[in-house]
Amino acid sequence: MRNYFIYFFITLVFLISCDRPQLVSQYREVIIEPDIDAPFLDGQDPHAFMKTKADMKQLAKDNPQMQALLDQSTAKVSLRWVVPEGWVEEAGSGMRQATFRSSNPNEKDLEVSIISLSGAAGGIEANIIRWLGQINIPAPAKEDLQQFLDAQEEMLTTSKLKIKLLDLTYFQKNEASDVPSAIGAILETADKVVFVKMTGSKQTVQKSLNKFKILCQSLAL
Amino acid sequence: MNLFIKNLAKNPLVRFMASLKITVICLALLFILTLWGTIDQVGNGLYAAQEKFFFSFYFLGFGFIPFPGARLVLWVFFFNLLAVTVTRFIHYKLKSIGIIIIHLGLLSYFFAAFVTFHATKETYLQLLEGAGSNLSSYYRDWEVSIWKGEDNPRNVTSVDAKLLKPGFSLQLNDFGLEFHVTQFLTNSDAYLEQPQEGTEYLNASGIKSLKKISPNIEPEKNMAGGTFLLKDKKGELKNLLLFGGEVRPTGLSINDEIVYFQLRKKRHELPLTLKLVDFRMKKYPGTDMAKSYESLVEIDANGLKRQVLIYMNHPLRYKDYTFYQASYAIDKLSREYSTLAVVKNPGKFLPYFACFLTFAGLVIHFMSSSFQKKK
Repeated sequence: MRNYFIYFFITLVFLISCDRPQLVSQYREVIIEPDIDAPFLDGQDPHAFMKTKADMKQLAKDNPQMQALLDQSTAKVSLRWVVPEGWVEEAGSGMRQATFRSSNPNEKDLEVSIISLSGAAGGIEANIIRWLGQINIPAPAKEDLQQFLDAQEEMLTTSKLKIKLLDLTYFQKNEASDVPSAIGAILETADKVVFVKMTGSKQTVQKSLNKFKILCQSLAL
Repeated sequence: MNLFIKNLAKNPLVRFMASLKITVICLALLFILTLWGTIDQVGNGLYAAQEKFFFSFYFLGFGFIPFPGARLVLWVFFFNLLAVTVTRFIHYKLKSIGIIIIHLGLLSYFFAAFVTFHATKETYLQLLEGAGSNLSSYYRDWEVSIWKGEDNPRNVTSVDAKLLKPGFSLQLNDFGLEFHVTQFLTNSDAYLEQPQEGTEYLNASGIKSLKKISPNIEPEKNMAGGTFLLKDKKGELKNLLLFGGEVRPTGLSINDEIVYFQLRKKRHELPLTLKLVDFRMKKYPGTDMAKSYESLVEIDANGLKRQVLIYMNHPLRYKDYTFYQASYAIDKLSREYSTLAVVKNPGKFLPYFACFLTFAGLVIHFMSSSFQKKK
């Protein structure tokens, strides 16, 4: 009987000794970067994962290295705007400078955001395609996209800056009034881009277009 | 040798292990485990069911009934088969050579399964067109990667997440650093909000706190997070927070050098560097469904570069590694990513060998049986 225990023990030690991975190790990492520069893509937005409402000023408390990394992605613009009547402003979070909602209970789905980014932020076409994807519209052909851009209105803000309106309902002419939709606007300066985006049902965003234009035209740097 | 085997065959433990009852019990247990595991994976996910029923030595059924896992059952089954081979076929005769070869073939299956289970590494490599790497990523495992400076290539120290339990400490001499784990969450959400009276953490993305959430039914979707206390040579303490969803590493000044920390999927070093030159996809006419897709890659193995096309049923094989075309992704900017499944299996030919051995044993056995009947 004693022998049985010895055999059992030896077998157990043998079995347990299997499968011991190295838990602290070193390796060499080679990084080959693609030859493109588009810093703000879905999944690569450094703040995209955060479920947060935060004051960016808090970040200044952090150390300079960390702040420098944040500075790469978040443009510190001193934007000003006028809140259209019937809309309520909420505190900004992350890259969002501000969020607006409608006080009208029938327009609960309406959300408007102002986001500022440094650099080219992917360009107008890329952002249109991204926004279209968010409302389940496939990317249009280049010619169609150009046609859309040519048909869009360009306005001047109170700072005499050009802001391009992007009415995505253009692609939803035959869609029902309750489909998700969006109207955006892009303001580009030499070193930053400001995105204004209104989302909601097609009906709601079309009804709110004038207020959206008021907000866009009120933007001042 | 023959004497040794004869003595072994008389050993009471070997005789006990050669019992047919053990064979039957093992087969019955394997049947139950397969059925139970199949039912369980519907509710708890494939990975959890595999871990519980098939990769474990034992588990608690319904939370309190101890039950042997397939790993233990297969080990017992292996020893049972080995003991049978030793005791039953001790008197080797030419007429039983086929049966002996069949049993050796079956034992080879166990050996092949053992090597495959313990030595196979399944990882993936997702590359944007134009990008390349010499590292693949594990699907579920995490690591804290630590490196100095901006060098490319860079030397990375990896701390496996299996070690990251609160209270764990590690002396990282290359960095002059003590690394203490204060919290580690298998699945978490990241928040910018600073909890009241909470510790202020350093983090490149400005994350202030983590919240534990239930592990995902698909573990590859878990997003790990952790908080760490770092102590440099001067005794200066830094509280670091890392989250698996971050794109950028957190760089900290430690002993007058910039040291980067990142919590990311565990990496596996490949014997080559692989660059995605072009990803091509054909769609079914009038649909968005992919008909076929292929990746043109450039591999650099010890300075020798060549281009290889990887597509369905045409993987790239290099040493023990096989690179399969597994998936693809297109981002909102219409940029194409290719995902390659990377499998390292040093025992990939063993099942073929076992299959051949069993087949040969069957042929010999049937041929010798029919020959003896004719006589």
